[in-house]
Amino acid sequence: MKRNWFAFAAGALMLAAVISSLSAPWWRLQVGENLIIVDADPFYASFSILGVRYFIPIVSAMNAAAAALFVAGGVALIIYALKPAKGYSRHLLSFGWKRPIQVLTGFIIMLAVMVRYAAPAAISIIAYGASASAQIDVPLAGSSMMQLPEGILDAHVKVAVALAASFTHSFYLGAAAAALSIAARICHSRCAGNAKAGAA
Amino acid sequence: MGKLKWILNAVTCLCLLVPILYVVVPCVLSGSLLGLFVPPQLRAALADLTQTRSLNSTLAALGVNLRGFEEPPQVVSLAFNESAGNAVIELNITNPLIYERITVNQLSFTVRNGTHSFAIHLVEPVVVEANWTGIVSLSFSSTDPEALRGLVKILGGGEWPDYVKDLEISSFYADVNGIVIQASDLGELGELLDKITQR
Repeated sequence: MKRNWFAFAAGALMLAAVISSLSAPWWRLQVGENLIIVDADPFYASFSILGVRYFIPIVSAMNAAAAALFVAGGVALIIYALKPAKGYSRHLLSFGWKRPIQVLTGFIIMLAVMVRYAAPAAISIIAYGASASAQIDVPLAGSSMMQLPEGILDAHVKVAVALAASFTHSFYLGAAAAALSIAARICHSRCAGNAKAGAA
Repeated sequence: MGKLKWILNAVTCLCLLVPILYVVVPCVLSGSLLGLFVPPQLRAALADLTQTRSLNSTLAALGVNLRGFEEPPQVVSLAFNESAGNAVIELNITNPLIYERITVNQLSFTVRNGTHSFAIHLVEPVVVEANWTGIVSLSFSSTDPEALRGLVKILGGGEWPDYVKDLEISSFYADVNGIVIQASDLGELGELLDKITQR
């Protein structure tokens, strides 16, 4: 019987992406040398200040929901991949293949909003300088020096903070799962058609 | 087929609703919607501050040991090299952070007292592990050996004379944990300490 190996690989990568998120967030921003760390992740988002890790309850709840849906989607894709020609397989594929794309798209949109608006605003508040947001440029990947407004120490002092941001292997697992799930969807008609022809 | 579709829809609803309701319902019932957005550790730390008014325990919950700020740096050793025209002082500092190390990558400044000026810089980068102590070595140099000898006597004596507050600090550069602080003129030491204390 013909199997849809794209779907199998996508399902396996989806499960791997969720497990991997526990140890490596999809995207990490470091302010200073581990003074503030922001871990952006669709399944396990958190931030830490001076080594103390914090979770925002509503974000954690949404993370748990996304993780549960992702795992369910991954399992559905694996079951579908083994018997793509069965009558019920179409529903399993339909349930599973969109999940990585939805999660990846949602994550990229949230990350863009965070990097463009939320992070500069938060840093601006912390640095006591309302005008600071104009100068703060948080990198998506790579490192930069963030110049804080002069006068934050009530003296003519220039303060700059090192910023470093990077995507980790967990993000690439999620992106690969999304790409493979699209491939699985495209291959579905061929796999199902071949299997039916073989059975006949 | 219809049954499977129904099951998959039910799974989707359960996956979405159960975690969100698990968090939202207790907050709504207790009437504190802020609990949805503020991390529990921060709420506990702030509640601790308002109830027990203990700054120590609140800061400890935030990863800061107040004792680290209260203990002034202690002089471990002081070596004066007359031929090289510099003095090296070793200070024992306490890391006030409970969970994070402090890395002093660079530190340099100039101290001026009237006609005399001393260039001070960090001998080598220092890493002080979390909630631990470390040795910081600072090198003092001056074009005037007599002035340097006088400074060594003051530093070795332990007691700082009153005119120390009139010392002017300039050309300040520090890189601590990736935070770079630069100032061409910080003014008098006394005024600077007053500003820091007021904050």
